[in-house]
Amino acid sequence: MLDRIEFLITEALTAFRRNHWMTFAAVTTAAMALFLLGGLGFAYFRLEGLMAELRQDYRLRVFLKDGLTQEQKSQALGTIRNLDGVETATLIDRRKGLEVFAQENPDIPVADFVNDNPLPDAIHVTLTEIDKTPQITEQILKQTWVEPNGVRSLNELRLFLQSLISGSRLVGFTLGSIMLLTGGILIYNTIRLTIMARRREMRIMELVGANRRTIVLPLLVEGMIDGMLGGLVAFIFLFFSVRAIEGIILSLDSFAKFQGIPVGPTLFLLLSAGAVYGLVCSMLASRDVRTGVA
Amino acid sequence: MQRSAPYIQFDRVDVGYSDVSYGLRGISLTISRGEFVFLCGLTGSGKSTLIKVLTREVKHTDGRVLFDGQDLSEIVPETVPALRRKMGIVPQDFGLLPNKKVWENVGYAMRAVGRTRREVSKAVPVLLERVNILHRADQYPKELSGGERQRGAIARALINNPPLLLADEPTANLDPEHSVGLMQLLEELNRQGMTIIVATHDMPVVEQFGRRIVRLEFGRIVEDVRQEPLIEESAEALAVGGSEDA
Repeated sequence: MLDRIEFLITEALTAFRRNHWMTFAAVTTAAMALFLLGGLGFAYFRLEGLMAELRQDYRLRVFLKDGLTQEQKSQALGTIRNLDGVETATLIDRRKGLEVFAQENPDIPVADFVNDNPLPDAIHVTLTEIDKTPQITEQILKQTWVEPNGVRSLNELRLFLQSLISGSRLVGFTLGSIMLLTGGILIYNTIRLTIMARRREMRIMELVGANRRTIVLPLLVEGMIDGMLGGLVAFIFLFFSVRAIEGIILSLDSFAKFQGIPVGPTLFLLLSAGAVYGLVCSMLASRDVRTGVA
Repeated sequence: MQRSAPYIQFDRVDVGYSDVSYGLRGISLTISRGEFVFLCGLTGSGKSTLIKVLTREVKHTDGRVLFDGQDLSEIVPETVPALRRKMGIVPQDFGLLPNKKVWENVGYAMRAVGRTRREVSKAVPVLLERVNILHRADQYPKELSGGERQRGAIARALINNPPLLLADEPTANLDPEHSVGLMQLLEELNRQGMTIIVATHDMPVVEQFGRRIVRLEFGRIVEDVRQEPLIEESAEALAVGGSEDA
């Protein structure tokens, strides 16, 4: 049995030496397709998870106009609390605001500003539904007690993730589909080239009475190896891409919890997907050999 | 050796490519086990087609072909390999792989039909010795003469120890000396009990070796005669002055 497997794999590997450039093209294109579709798809779900974890941290800061009375400030607070999608609203007066600023920026000396505090009174708002941020911002900006452009979102990380998610969706599924098709055609062509190059061997196999599967299996194995190599390259791309994204996310929010990709399952998934992909392409390319038409 | 039982039987066999183009027309032919048959005729006469009908490379369109009691019409693609293991096929162009040595060519074919490495290493020297090419086992086909290549192809055809050997124009690229040598090898295999069918248009060689001669023209059998071999001196005379064709 092992002897037989060795013969079939040796036959499949012979093709790599013959069509090495075509194989290289097929493997790299398959890798790009798997990276874009599988890898970014995986990252997409991971980022969605991270987004869900970050929802409770979605915050707005609303800066109030100078000269408001305490009653007006309380009314403003009440108005914000009554908005749909607002979880909490806390009034932070300018004095407390300076304390918070000093805590957040210990390198900046704020003692000089104690008597001449430049900060306005503010309301810190947390949201229950981040998707309502634009509507809430718009409603607050309509109020008379808010500074012009006095609503600031603290969700840079969210925005970054959002751009990554929409980017991965767009890039992943558009380019990935194109790459999938191109990679498939390249693997198909590689197998067709192998069939052309191996025509003499196949004829001899037929003449001496080799089974059809002995003739076809090396072609299928070759396609699977092409696809698996593509999966391996895609994994390497994905691994380093996720590492880079992780670095960016942590630079935006050092408390963000970002789980990297699980190496074993991801590698297994990409190799399996590559194997199936390569197998399907090689089955299509060798259908005439399989049916004995060639 | 049993010679009377029909081993191969063609009964009004046609091979048609279109309404007006035929490879074989109404061929009826019986070959007994252990016979040595020459299929003779010009190019396009149908001798190679007749061999290909037996190997199931070509499917006959009408009539009946029996091989070893089996009706070839009933053979499905899945059982063609089993059919071919009952026959050794020597193609006109030798069919040797140029990037493999002689022993590797034979070994490769054995591996393709499921033999293990151990079986290959045991059997290949025996097969090469049987066709007198063992001394050239480590040569590549391009380093061999035409006759040696043909012997390599015959060794490969013998890997399944078949009772039938089909050779299509085996002397086409050989000089007279090598042609005679090759025919003597086929005779030896025939003496060992193997049925031999040779398609050839090399009439001088055929006439020297005699045996049964089936002559074809335009896909039909025009003559089927049994001829005793001429004296050996004639064969030797053919060999005189032969040149190497390597």
